[in-house]
Amino acid sequence: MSVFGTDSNWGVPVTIGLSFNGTAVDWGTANLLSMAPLDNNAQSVDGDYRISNLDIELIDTNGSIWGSLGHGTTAFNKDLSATVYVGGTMGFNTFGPGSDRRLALQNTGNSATYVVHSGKITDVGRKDRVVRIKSKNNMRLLSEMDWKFPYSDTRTVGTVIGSYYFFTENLGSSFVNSVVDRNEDVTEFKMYAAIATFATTLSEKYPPVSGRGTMGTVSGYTFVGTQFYFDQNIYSVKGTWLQFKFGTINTDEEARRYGFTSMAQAEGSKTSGAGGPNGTYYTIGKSRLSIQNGSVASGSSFHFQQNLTLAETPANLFRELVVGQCVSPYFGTTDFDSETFGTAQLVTGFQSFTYKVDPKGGKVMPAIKNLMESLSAMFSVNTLNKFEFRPYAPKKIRLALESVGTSDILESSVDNSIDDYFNRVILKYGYDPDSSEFKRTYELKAPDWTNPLDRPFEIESKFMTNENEAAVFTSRLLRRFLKTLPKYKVKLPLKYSGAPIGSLYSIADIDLVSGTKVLEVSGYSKDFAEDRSVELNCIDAESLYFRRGYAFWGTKVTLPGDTVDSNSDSGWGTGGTAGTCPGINYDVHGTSSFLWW
Amino acid sequence: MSRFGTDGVGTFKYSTGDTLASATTIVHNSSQAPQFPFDTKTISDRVSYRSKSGKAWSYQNYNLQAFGFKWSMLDEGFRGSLFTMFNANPLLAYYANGTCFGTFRMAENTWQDSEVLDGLFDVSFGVEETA
Repeated sequence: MSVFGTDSNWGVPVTIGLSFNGTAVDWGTANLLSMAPLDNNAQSVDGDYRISNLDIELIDTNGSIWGSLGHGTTAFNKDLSATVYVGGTMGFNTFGPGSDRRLALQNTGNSATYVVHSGKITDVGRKDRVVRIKSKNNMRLLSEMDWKFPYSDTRTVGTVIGSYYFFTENLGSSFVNSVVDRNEDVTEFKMYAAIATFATTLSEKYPPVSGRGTMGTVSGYTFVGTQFYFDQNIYSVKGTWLQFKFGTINTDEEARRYGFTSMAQAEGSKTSGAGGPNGTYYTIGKSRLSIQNGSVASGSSFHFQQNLTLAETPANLFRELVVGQCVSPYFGTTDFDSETFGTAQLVTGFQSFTYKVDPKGGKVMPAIKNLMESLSAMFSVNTLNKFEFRPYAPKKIRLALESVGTSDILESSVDNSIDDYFNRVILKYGYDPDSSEFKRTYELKAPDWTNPLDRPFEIESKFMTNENEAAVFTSRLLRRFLKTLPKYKVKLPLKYSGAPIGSLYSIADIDLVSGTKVLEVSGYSKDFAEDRSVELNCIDAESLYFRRGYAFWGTKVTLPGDTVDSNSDSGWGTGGTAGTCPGINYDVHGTSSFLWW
Repeated sequence: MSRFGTDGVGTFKYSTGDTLASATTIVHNSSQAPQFPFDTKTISDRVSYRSKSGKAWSYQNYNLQAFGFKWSMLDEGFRGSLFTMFNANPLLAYYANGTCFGTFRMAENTWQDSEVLDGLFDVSFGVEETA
């Protein structure tokens, strides 16, 4: 027996281990016909996030694999993960009429092992005794999440007259957190409501999903169990508060519009005032609702939808957008990579984001993308199918990094384009969903900016409301865009199969850098079946992070690390240079020692 | 002695099902194929790289044998049997001189034939080991 490690220049075996529905299966070693390259990507600015696919073909001579997939019917949403073994234990097998000997893999003992994909099956097919399976990571499921709103307990319909529903209270005032599109004195408004025929309170009939956050709810409303949204239709309801009807009611039909069954009944509420300031009027004191897209019977219960406003530090807000009660319950807290999430909490701890959810509901993904843009964050799903979230913030790059030199680099190139250069950053923030407008703008130009050479970069943030945060963010972005970020491509052997997005390498390659440079992986393509190499897409981490100042967020959070001074590399610490950064939310303007440089 | 023994008889067994249990058999002997040049070569999935400073990297999972049959003057019936087998794209076994050479599949796009005399064909195709 011989052990072949990843550094051997003999023919190192490469095998794939697959796990289906939580159980290891031998399809990868015995049946794998092809496996498309695994791509993943975390764009930092444009919000174009990649769903990483596993796309494999398996030889299925006797139909057993197809049978495991329920003949194409039961495979969906079951887990599929792939592990690559580079190297292994080799030995001789005999073959052929002359009993010749052939070196062959005996087992994967002593191999280097890399989990390269975890996801859920989305496509299956079979042709010519070959089974094709596609699996996609959690980014796919994330794009399917819907908003889930809290609802008020109940208001029973009082009088039903024609297509009008009357209540003896001003619902616009009673349910001020449900009202949308209202006029100034809340006499004309719109609400969204579920209309049910049961009398029990919502929280008893549809208990909330346990273990999830409740961010955004206000008193009188409750997040309900998810079955509620399948059981109940949500109606758009137009409301009017009728305190008085001025003038004379002349027909029965007109009387019914104001909550009277007939003109004769309206007479009982009439005040004749000919010659007085108000003339003749009727005292009503009712809310009148009309349903835009349906009808209900008397005795039904209205459950009003609460307008949802989420306010938290960015990382905690992001967590709520993924695992809170306000979204489809597809994920749990274990679906986050804890290390990157912990760092994200630290580096955004000084910020406070606010997001008003569109009461019409819909998908959550546009909000998540906008949150990422508002932080210029790298966002991806790792090979363990966990979310990784990296806001653009100080980062320690003087760690003991793995060095990659020309003995490992198979091919390399570097490219840059004016497309990555901007000398003016415009941030629109302070979003008002009622008018669909950004109320505030913060703009920053480079010191040498001239009109003919204008290269503007515009970001619209629906989360940011604070001017100081806007100032810090635009300043960071402008500095980052002025230096530009060359794009590095480095092709490497399979010993780098495990390189994750966000990892740092110290590169020495005269084609790419002078001396050494720290690069950060922003995307990759890994091919284990055909090309058998790893191509890393990298960005210049030194340009991004090096000597960009030291972040210290006052008393907001306690940050581990070194003491801060003007010679510090990027990073963070528990103490700062005296008097430089007493509180970012108030003193960041003009406190140049605080800013990244 | 040739790998086919003294009589030059070889046998293909193939099935288009999942096993060779109920295989179709094609026997050929020297009277049907007076010449049977038999090429062997090794096919490999080896991928080799040389890094910028010269270090070699190589990945390889298998090293399989492929056989090329090149017959002259096959009669029409035998040529037809072989053509049927090739188009069926089966798993097949090849026996000669009492020995099974292994389990094979047809090598893609290797079939060539030409009618050299009335009813007599030159035929060539290849098979590759499956594992």
